[in-house]
Amino acid sequence: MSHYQQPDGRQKLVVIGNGMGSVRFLEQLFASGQCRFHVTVLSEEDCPGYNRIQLSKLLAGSVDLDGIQLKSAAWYQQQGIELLMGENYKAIRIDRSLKRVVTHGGDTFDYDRLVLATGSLPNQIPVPGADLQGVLSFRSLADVNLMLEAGQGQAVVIGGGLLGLECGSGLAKRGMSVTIVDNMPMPMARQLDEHAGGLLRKELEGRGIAFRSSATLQSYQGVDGRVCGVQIDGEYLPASLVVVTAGVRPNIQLMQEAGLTCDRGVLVNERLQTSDPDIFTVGECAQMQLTGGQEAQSLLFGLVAPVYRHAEIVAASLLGDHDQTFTPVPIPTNLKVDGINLFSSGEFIPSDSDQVMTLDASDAGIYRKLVLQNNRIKGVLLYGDVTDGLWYQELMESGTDISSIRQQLIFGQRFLAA
Amino acid sequence: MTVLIQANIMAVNQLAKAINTTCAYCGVGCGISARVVDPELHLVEITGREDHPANYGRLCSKGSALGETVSLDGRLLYPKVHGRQVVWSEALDQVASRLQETIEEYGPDSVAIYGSGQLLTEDYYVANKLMKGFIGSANMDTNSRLCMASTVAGQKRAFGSDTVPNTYQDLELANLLVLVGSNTAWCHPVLFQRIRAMKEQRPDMKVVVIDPRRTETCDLADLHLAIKPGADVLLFNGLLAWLADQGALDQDYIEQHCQGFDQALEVARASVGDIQQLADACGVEQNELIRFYHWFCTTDKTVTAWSQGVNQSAAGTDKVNAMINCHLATGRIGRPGSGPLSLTGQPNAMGGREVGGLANQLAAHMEFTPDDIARVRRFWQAANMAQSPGKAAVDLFKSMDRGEIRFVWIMGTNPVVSLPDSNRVIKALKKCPTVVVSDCIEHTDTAEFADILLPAAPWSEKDGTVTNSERRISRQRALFPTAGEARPDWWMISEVAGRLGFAEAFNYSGSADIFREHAALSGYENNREGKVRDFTIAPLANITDSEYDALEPFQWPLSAVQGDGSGALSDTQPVISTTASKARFFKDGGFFTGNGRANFIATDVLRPLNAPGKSYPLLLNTGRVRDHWHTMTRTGRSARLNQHTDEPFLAIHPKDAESYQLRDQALCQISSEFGKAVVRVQVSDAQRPDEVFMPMHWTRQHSETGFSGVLVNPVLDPVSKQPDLKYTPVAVEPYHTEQYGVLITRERVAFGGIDYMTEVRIENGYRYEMAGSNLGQLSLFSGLNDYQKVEFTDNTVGERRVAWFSDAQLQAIWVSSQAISSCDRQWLQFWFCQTASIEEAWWVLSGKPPRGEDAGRQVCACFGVGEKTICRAIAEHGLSDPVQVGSHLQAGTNCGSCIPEIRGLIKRG
Repeated sequence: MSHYQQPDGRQKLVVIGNGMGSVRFLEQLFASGQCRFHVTVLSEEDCPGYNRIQLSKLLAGSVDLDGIQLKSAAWYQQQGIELLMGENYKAIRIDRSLKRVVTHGGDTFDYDRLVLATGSLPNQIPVPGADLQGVLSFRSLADVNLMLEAGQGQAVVIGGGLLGLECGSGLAKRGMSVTIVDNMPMPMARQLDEHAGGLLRKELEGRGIAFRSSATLQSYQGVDGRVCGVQIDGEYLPASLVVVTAGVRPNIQLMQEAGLTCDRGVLVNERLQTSDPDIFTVGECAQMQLTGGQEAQSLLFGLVAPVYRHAEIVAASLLGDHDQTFTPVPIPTNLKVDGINLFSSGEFIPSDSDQVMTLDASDAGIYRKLVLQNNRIKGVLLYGDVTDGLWYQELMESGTDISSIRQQLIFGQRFLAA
Repeated sequence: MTVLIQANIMAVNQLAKAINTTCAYCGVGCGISARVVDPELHLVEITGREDHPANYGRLCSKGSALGETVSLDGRLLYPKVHGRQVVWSEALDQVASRLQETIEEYGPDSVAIYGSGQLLTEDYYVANKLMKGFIGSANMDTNSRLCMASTVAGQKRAFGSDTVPNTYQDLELANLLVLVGSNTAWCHPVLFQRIRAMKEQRPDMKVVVIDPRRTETCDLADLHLAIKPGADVLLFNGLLAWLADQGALDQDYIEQHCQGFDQALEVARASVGDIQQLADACGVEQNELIRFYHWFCTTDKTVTAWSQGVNQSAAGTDKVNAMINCHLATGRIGRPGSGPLSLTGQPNAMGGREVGGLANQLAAHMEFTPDDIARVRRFWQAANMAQSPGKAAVDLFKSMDRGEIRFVWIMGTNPVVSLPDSNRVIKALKKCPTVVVSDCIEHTDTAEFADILLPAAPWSEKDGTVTNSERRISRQRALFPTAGEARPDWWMISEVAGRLGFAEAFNYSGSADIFREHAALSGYENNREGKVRDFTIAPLANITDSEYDALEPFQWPLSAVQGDGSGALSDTQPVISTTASKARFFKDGGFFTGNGRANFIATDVLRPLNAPGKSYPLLLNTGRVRDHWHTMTRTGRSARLNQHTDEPFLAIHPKDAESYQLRDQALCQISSEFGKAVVRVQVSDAQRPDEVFMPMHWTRQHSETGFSGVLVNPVLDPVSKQPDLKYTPVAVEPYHTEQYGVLITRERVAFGGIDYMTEVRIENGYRYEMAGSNLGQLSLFSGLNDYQKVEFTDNTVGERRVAWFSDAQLQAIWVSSQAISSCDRQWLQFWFCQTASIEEAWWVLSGKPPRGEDAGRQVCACFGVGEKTICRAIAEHGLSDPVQVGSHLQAGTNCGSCIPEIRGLIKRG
């Protein structure tokens, strides 16, 4: 089946992918009611775009599928968006000369403009047994469904980053006995210092999750093609489910094959335009080359805020406003692990010449650390109560001299003298 | 012992019934109505007694908080000999045998009693009687020596008797009220309230305050003369000369009722020079001086009231006479709204004077004259009458230091703190072979040197009478049964007297017995055949116990009047109803001198004995603060009373602070020829330059270094022997230390070896302000190890703050820093009293109250929006879905993770 130009003569916009960036892009595109495109969205997943960040909540059972749905099917209908979902609508080729997208099911879609929102793919760990059944990643609704089918038993989660911890916590809540295997000395090692990492580990251990830190995965062990455990240095951990959270990489196979200029991601300019001016990207698949200003920068995107900014810029551009460009802003780590808030930003591991102030209320599940240089904040780490994270961020970015508020600084903005 | 038991039963029966009694503090003598709420827990509600003529229902901050000071915490409840708890009989045997042995070996003048204006008249009477009539020495002096000896001496010189000619009402009736050396607002607050009320009612009434410091009293003043310390005599000499020059004298009064005027005027004139010289010498503006003189000159209804600024001076007696001279010269004495009025410091300084509690008085306003000695001997049937005055306070401790006094019984006072050159007092007490201390508090600076400690009944447990500054005698009544083995002082003294073989003369079964004897002595030969004396309450010599129990406040002198004209009293008629008080003295002369004339006293201006110089360039003044009393044994226990002034301080003029590099709230060291102190600096332009002020209240029980007694010079008024506590040359310098610390705890902590430490009683605990080195090493922290802890460290600036929690309460807070912490103590203390878990109050270590509203637990991490903020927005704007919340607060508009929570908050409403 072929999709031809619409009788009304509207230009055709095809969007590949229906993740969070894509949905935000569509929202922006239709927000003003001025959209003059006929929009087709191709999604390989079986349901309309959902909040991927909340998959861990879904896993933990604290929300249901409706609760993470970004926009209902009815909304797409109301906007006149043609939303095509499922394996058949997985885009498998872009023919740029014909300005046409081909799907797995053999359908072709002509476009005037194409927006690529293919997101990223989870990394694998190249050890024996990676293809065993029951070795999963944690990326999609389908992954969550597989985990939920795993039942009670023992689970091993590889990776002690945010996703690993949330996955472990969710599985534990679902009744599994969970061990998190990490090659770092403590959980969230890139976002926390030793003390905060220790607090987090202790807290999670208190919730029944076991840790193997500074451990290397040697192999997945299986019986009859199904995983039954993992071998780490000198220890065998039985497991009926192994979830691998080892980071992600931009999902760009489609773009590479279409001859778009790619590096780790598909290369875009500040307006999210690829090497083909009719093709834009939104989200984690993009890699932005910044030339203006100081030294050249190459950015990848893993957080939702810049992705949403992508969505705004591309939507504006398609609506005729070509002046919006992406300006990178430092983004602090500001997240919640199993209900525990964390915030870190800047150089929160001090060097010898830095000044450090700490507030340790571990017994209340709270820890704060500020690293200072010349009376200016250089790094922030907040554990448990992160109320003032964004305020510290501002002070850090603006290079504010904190001498006059030093006595109260660590307690937060609310405690400054009026 | 029967009496005590009766008293106990009585107190219990009065449960929840209002008990009329008298305030424990200053000489105003306010009537109190006390309602015991829980006798076990010593809970009592205190209100002002509406029908008491001293206060008519008013009370000051201290009086109102009396209920907070009557717990058993810190009480001395059992007799102790060298620290060992003993039974009464053993303690009393020890006292008696040591007394006996000392007298036998060294004579009666080797023993002494040092009493207090806190004693009741009955206690005082018995102590005085034992010493002066039966031991045979007049070494019975009292802390009243530090309070109003100069007024006693001045009044006796002028009037021939220690007579207060006027009443409180005159403060209200006056058109000109001159307050000299009196911070009435803080030290006699209820009189100040009365004056304020009258001034509001009659704005024309003028108030002049004469005080080197701009005190709170100046708030009411039309004119404040901030005279140089000690210039009072000169100022009133100048006034006398001015009155003469302006023809404002009452020649008739002077001629008919006085003597010595010409010489007094001559000496006055000679001392003052011209008006500009006079103003300069007084340190005031000439036009202000003239204004005061003019007002005095032209205002018939003038009251001059004074207090310790006059009395505690090397020229105190002369100051009193210089003021009285001006009143005699204008005939303004003992008239409504006109006269001199001394405001005494203590609740029963006047009662002490009435029984003869000073070493130079005999008893009942009788002196050491052969006639009076014989009269009193007859009345007492005394075995060993003292023949001459004994040693007054400062001399008494000096002779103890010289080894002459070998036995001392200190009753209800704390001379180690209150006497000048207190290091020498300590030396003397260490030397004295027997030191007996009767007190209601176990640990005082003086009790530390006691060989024998006797538990005395405190204010709330004793029964008797007190006399206020206007000669008004009021009952003080027990609110609780005596606690532990506590006993009234009169009982202890009588028991000792009995053991010395004087049982018959000290056979009292209760305070009423003593009161009757005291009243009888006041009337004994008080007539032309004997000697006419001002003080008499003779009609009460036969009152019954129940009449005594029900005795209403009355002024002395009290004389009998004919009831129904028949002269016969019915049996049921109370004695008091057939008596009349005399409110005022001397309107028509009638002085108690030999010839009935008042004496003008020539008051020459003397150079100070100890003047500021190169080494000690500043002048130290000492005094009270509003909410503390004496050595804080009572007020120190009230958290409320500790809020007004919680640490000892040095008030210093900004210019001096700058010259000596003292910063406000920093620590400074003060040194005099006699000792050193370290206190907090309070920069204040209420001080005159070159003069500093330090409160008198702090002791070694509350502070390591903050007491004034060690600094003060032991210079005495030559007539009254009252020490000059307000004129000591000192030097000041900044006090540098490595660390400062603040500790708030539930339990009292004993510290030693810290450079600076002051203990402050707070609600549910104590606060310690400290300075020194290695404060972090304090051993106290080990006891807190099991508690939950919050710790803030900023090593670069040496800041460390720790809070310990358990049982949903703060258990302790520690703040140490290189500079004095700016943490808000009141706020920390507020949280110390709250129920708050570590999760709810971890931020208390900020030491500063937050502003704005608490955002609550964070819900939206992306935009930092808290639960409480969201709930407030939902309520305020009636928001019904997360999108609306997002448009108001941005919450949930980024990653959206918090949207389910926001939805939950909306649902919860």
